[in-house]
Amino acid sequence: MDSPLLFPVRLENNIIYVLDETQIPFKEHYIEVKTIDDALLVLGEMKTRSLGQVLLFFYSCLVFKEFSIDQIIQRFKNRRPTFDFPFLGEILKGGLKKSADAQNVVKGFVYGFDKARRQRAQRLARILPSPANILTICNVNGELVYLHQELEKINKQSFFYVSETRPYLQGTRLTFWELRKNNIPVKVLCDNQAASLMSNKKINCVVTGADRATKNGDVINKIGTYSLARLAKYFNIPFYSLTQYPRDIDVDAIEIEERPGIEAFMYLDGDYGSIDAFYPAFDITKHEFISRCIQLEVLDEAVRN
Amino acid sequence: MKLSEIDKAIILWGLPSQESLSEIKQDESLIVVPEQRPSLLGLTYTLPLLKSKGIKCFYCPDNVLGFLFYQGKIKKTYLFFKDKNDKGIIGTCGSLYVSLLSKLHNVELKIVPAAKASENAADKDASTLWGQDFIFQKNKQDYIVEASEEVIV
Repeated sequence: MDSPLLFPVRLENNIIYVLDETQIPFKEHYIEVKTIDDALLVLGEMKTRSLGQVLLFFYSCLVFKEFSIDQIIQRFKNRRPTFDFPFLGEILKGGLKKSADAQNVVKGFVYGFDKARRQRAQRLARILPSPANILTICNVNGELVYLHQELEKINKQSFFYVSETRPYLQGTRLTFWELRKNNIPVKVLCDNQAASLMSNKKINCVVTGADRATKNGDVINKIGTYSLARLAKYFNIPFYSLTQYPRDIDVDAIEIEERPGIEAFMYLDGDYGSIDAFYPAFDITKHEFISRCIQLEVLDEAVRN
Repeated sequence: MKLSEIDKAIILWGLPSQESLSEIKQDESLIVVPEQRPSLLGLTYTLPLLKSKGIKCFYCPDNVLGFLFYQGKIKKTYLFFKDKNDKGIIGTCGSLYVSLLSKLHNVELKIVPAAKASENAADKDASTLWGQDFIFQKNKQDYIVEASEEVIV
């Protein structure tokens, strides 16, 4: 399988290398992160996200030893307030109680995470129809490639429809790109075409990631997810959310990050500084609009322990 | 623009006609101008029009609309339609998306004839943005959901 998005952040010789996801598909460029400020910069500028920010957090805890785990949590949270960095800190601290070797703890987490997402894709593949015509948004770091492989193993055909995910175009630049790299059948649509696609019966399920999840099944994910869930429910199309570490919290109490308005014009040449714009990075989807949360099981064990 | 600054806003979808703007201006509500992919109608047509009339507005990507509905920030949607046939009204790409989201959130949907104006021809589907190609595939049409007008029943 060919996708640098599976592990977009690497640690080599005590230097963190971050795949600059904003440059894909034009260039596969890695940014060297040598200081905590470098880490905060790539995080704040959305050079990495999703799994990338998990890996960046863990590797920062390994490399920038002049800072405590709690200090790194606080700094990361200041940059990306919606993501659950405190929980990642709990996982790391929990691991360090069992083993003093932080490198091994992180390595174990990364290996376990990858194994768990493969298993999650396997469980989802069993549920999906055949053929599975799947609508998705944003990017789940290679897991849709796993899903396609798992569907093939059980002789289910699949076709992916990717919502472009403005303004950063993670759908087009990342998901479409990685699926095509792996010769998986896929088409891209504008975000506002989702209802038309559902109405025309082109898709029979929706699969998205989740940046946050609660124990009662509410999720926070990339902006646009909520609309897909509401429309899917209207058209009686099942909606599946790939979740990890659900928390016993009120989803509406989680801060939704509002990015600078100028980012609404990403990838549009021109000067838009004088235009007032609104760009929240995430939205909230309540459990009544989600058919099922497909959880990452290894992390569930970590939570229980 | 921050979420806390938005209240009882009005969404404009399609090409607003000059006639409708006086009614919209009288309302004195904040106007939401969605981007309206693929042809970026919000950026190329609606924003300059509202600015010239002194109507206060803000811009957002299309996928932000659901969040605004969820937060109870929208009081009305204007859908500017192109045509009618025996199946329903015909609107620009995304008309069904915004109509259904309005309906699902019990927001008033006002159907108004659109202005006769040409759309940005550089972006006809999701493969390009401002004419820049993000797909790079031979037989590109095989990898794109064709953007077209939509019928709302």
